[in-house]
Amino acid sequence: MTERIWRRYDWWLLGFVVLLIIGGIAMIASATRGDPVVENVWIDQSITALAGLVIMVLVSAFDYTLLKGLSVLIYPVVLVMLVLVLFIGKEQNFARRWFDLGLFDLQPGELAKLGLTVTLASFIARAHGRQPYLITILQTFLLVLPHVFLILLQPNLSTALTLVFIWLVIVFAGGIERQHVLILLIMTALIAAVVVQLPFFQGYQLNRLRLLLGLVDEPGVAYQSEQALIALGNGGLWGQGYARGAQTQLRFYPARHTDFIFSAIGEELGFVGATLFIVLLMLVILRTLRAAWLARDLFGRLMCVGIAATLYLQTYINLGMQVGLLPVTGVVLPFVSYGRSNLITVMVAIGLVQSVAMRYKKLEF
Amino acid sequence: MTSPISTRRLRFAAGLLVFVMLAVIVQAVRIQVVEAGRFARRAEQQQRVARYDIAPRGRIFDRFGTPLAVSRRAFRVRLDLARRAQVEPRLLAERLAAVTGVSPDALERRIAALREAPAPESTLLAFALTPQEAYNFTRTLDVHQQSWVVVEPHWWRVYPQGDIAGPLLGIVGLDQEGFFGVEGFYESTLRSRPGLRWEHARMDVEVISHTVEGADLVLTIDLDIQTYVEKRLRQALQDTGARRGVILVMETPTGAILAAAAVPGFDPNHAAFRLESNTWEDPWVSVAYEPGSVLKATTLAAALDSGVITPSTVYSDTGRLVVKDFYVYNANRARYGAVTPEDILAFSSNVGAAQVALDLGAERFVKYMRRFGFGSRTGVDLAHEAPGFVRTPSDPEWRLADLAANSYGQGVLVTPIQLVNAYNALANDGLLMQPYVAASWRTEVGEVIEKKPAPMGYAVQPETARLMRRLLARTLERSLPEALPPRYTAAGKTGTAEWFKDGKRQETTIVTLVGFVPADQPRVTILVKLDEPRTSRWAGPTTAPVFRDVAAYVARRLGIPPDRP
Repeated sequence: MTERIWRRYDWWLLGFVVLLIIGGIAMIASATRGDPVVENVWIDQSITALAGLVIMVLVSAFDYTLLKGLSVLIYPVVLVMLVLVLFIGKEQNFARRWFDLGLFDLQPGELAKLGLTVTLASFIARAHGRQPYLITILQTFLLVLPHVFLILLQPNLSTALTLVFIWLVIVFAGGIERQHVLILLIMTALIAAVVVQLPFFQGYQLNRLRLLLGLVDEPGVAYQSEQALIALGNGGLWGQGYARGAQTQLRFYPARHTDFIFSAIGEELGFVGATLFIVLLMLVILRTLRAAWLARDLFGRLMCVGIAATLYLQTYINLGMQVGLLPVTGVVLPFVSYGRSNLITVMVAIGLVQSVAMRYKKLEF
Repeated sequence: MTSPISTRRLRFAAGLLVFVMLAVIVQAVRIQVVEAGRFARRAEQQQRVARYDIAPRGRIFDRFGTPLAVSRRAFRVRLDLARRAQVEPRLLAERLAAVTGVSPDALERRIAALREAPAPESTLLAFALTPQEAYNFTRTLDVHQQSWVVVEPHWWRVYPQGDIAGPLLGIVGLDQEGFFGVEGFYESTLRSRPGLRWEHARMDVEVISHTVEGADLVLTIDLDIQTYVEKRLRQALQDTGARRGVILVMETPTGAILAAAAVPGFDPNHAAFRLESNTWEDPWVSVAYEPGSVLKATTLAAALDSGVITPSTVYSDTGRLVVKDFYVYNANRARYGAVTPEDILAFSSNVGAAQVALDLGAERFVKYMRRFGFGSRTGVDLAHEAPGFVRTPSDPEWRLADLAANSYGQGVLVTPIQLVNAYNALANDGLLMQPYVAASWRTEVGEVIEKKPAPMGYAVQPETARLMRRLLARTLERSLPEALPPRYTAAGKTGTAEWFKDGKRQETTIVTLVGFVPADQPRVTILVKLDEPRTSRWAGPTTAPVFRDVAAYVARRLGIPPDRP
């Protein structure tokens, strides 16, 4: 029985994820070379990746259907953490986003993405067939709202918007009908209007938006994205070579190993290498959608869809920012950028996806 | 499958995701392929950095190679003007204060001022940090805060001997520019030249000009003698209550300066911060004064050399001499009766010296003054040398009284270096040397340039010089035996001069003793000058013990054989 399950383990997904993480570590090492403050973070990322691999396998061994019941617990726990972080979280750049746990920083906003995915999937799966779907949509909206509100208080606009997006996608996948789309659009517009009006929407975020729209020329923000673009362009088709990207090695742009790692990839490995990373990321997301397709129940399916949505959105926001399509926000590239909290979270998510994929037809024989 | 989401929808979603992601790839193509050249050019422009590399200033050694001034690699901290708007002055000031010891409030004010200033002259916040201090400082800043400042290497002047020979060495400013003394005079030799290079991408370096280290200087100074002389001079100031003093020790045959002490001096290690003061002037070369009776030696030498008098010529000293409307008196209004040249020196007879000068005549007197180097710079290699002043008969304000007064060192301004050099000419068989403190220097290509002693011409004939040495030896024996170093003969003459401040005659005096040892075949010429001694207003009792001790020390140190039981 167990043997059978592991035969259905998605080795392709594992392979893509491992390739991305190894590629990421290599680029982190290159981008931090000779910078005494962060020179050794690639070792740190490697250790996190190894721990994440073990956790990922353990999570996939665990039957995800048990989560359906646990989700009743997950939701309040995440909510309490989101409240607590506002008071006892570590403050940095005027935002309280994480707990300092010594070993690593725990970012409740990261947990909320996965937690909410599980909660929404389980809620919709349970409500399925028992009540009109419109009621379910409204109820899930009320579930999402406190999370979004608390995260805006931190403030962390990009995570809040990600949660709204996850909700939209899961609700969409949960069996939306044409007439619901209008309601969803109105609700989203409502949230967006609130977000833009309230002081949670920080000045620097407006600046970044305005900069992207070509309305202002803010030197600080412009410098960052300009330098990232120059590095990317300097890579050309084939790149300057690993650890030889001058813009990266001479530290012309910030966050080379975190938010802007794609610029390091682009400069040193060129368009070819950068595209390879994008393709690998897309493959991970498509394998996640495949698990959703194979899933034996609605809960597993919606969970996978939510995870795919999260990964996709993070990837897109990050890449869009680096190629100048989107404003500069502090979103990291999944699996690739340095960051313990984020790497563990996405690996747990992939573990869940594997758990779904492995158990797609329990009664096969 | 009854699930609400159909395979069709999933396929559609997957397709949509891939399609939207294509926008990123299209943009990447635009940046990395289509417009790659434009971005690469901008990268090249950014990476091509003009870099100045600074080299150390040349070192200064004493004649035996003991370092007197060296350059140490240090770090300085500047505010980055491009990022200054983001700087938090309080935080940065506190972090800097922790390593520099400067008060955080003062630093905060400076940083705040720099933040506002439109075009500040200097953005310097800290300097002379050791590598450890610079490291400790940068470690207290996070990556963002580090961008507020530029921490860069520079060279910092260090004087290992502390305040010894401070005024002689001079000082070096924050931008490694030398002022005063040797540092000031040899600025163009000691200074280094920064190299300029363009640094391109990937460590591709194009050198525009090479970095040139400053040349090392070896001085004629003997650190042992210098140290002793400074100690003895400080003692003398304590013993006599004098306000300040100088001692010069010159090597007779060459004119090389073995020691030049000035008390109070300063420690050049801590001097660069207080450049406004004029304390840094070299008191041996910058300050001219009326020397008094020490000039009787040159007056008599001139008269003997020109044949106007002989050693047996007798003058009548009645205690008073009238020169038109000017009266010449002796000190304490003494009368010495019939005096020979030797007596004039031994008694320090003003009346006698004035008569000798009047017999010599103004033209010849001034000619000899010039030959002895008075009234013009000696050309010693120290910064800010003053020429002194000798009034010539061609000057409309010249009066006969000037000649009389000049004969015993009044109405004439000389520097200590001129004085010791003039006496050195007498010690050196009449040949005037150009005094110097730098014996040799090593150029950037390693070539060693030796300074050769530079004769300036004969002040008097050798016979006259020999005669004067005998007379001056007798002078010390007769009038000031306590100035004689044990077991050595010595020759010399004292001078006690009144001085004027704001046109008013002061109660106190400036006392000088110049002489050489041994008397017959001199090896060193020594000058001792004290300003405003309190225990006595006369040169004899105040300067004699100092001269004796310095002469004895130098004679032993140079291994001069004793010539007296």
